[in-house]
Amino acid sequence: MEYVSTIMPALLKGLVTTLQLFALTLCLSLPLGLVVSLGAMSRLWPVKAVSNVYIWLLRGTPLMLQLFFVYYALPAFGITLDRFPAAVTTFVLNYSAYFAEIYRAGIQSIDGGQYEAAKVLGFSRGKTMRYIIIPQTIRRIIPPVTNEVITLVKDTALATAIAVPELIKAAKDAANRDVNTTGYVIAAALYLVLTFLLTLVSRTLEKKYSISDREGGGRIIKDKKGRSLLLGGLFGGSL
Amino acid sequence: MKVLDMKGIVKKFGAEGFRAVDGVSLCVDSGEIVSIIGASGSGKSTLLRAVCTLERIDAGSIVIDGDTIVKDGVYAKESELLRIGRKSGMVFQHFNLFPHLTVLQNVTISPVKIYGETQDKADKRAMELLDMVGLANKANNYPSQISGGQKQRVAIARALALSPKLMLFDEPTSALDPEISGEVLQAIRRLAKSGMTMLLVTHEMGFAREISNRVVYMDEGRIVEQGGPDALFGAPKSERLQAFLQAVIQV
Ligand SMILES: Nc1ncnc2c1ncn2[C@@H]1O[C@H](COP(=O)(O)OP(=O)(O)OP(=O)(O)O)[C@@H](O)[C@H]1O
Ligand SMILES: [Mg+2]
Repeated sequence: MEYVSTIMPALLKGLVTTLQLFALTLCLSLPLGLVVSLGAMSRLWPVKAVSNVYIWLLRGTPLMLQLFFVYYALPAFGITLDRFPAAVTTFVLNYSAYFAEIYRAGIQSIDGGQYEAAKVLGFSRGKTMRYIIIPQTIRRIIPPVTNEVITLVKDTALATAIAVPELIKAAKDAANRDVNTTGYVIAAALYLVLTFLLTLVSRTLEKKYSISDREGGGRIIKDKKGRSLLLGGLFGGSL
Repeated sequence: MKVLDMKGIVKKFGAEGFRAVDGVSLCVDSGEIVSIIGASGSGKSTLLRAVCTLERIDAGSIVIDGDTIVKDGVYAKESELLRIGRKSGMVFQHFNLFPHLTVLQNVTISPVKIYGETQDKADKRAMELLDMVGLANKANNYPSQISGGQKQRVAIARALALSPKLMLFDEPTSALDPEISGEVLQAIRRLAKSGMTMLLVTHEMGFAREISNRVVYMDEGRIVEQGGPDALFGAPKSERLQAFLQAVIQV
């Protein structure tokens, strides 16, 4: 127990780095993935080609290799990044490609009749995406996206390969120094707590969105005087 | 006063240039109700979809309420099409309601997000329209919570929310059980009584006969015969229409 308290500060510091890497990757790759997926479905063939090559390269090679490339090989092209920014860059690029594929599958699962209805109601292509297609897609992609997010927590461990001081690196340093593997056990417990919390969040999200899709009871419309328009519309406001 | 004026419409599909619509001219006067009947694949939907620019025609002209959508195969510019677009409302066979929006939001989203009406005003108008189709009490439900016949009536209200001059219906009851289609036909009847100009594709011959001022029979992309409903159904002239009606009655 005493040993635990001596290595805990270092492990927690590692955990903070892990969380930073995780959060930054999510915040940047979720929107970037949308841009890439829209590019992959673009009508302009150069945009489409570039986006598809991007997805193919980043999904088709190991994340570890991409980390090495960004950290060790990019300096030869005049781009030198520190360990942490190199890891963030790699993870963002890699995960945006995976998210792009999820978005694309989600968008393509929307029935063609939705586009036709939107078109006859005056929606441009952009507004159709914004108001009709993407809101429906979000509901459908919550399960695969949250899956990917949980994988990301664990994938951040790969950053240890370029010596980013995250949780695994902290555990490994302690283990090597003290010839004691307790650090790994604690790291494992911390990852489990993180994935458990994320699973809870994803369950809540799934529930919330499936409810608003099926069960109504949404907002009750009221006019300015606070009368329910439902009744007002029916009885000319005499109620 | 012509609400719809189509001349020499040609629509080709595919590499071989198959003519789904092959030189159709058709006018619909204000307040008139015109039904299009014909066998599957005769080009009825394609013609209707050309009116609401879901299909771009290869030749011909379309004028709605004095505004030219396309003249001799050349389309007006996008901003013009957006403005003219709201002069026709389209009701689809499969309703195509937006499942992530409530019934009320389905009706108001276009007036508010596209045509800049205030939410208040759009909500009030939508409630009137939903009341007209008998669904004011479903305003806050989602499409998945209402029946097919109710969905189609919402779709009608949604199209009406843009105050169109012309309503287009493409087999509005074909996806519904016969016992349910009656409520949709009733909503269309009410609309007819209110003086709305309508162009309707239907397989319900009884309804076409009852509601139409004029019935148009299409085959292989062309209008073969047209006339008043009693004349057309009672005394069909062309052999093709006679054969078609014979076949329909037997089914
Ligand atoms: N997008 C398309 N691409 C290729 N061919 C098409 C397309 N849309 C329609 N067609 C063809 O054009 C012809 C007319 O189709 P249309 O849908 O207008 O027929 P319809 O009279 O509405 O038939 P139904 O009663 O079955 O609805 C058909 O032969 C159809 O296969
Ligand atoms: Mg059809």
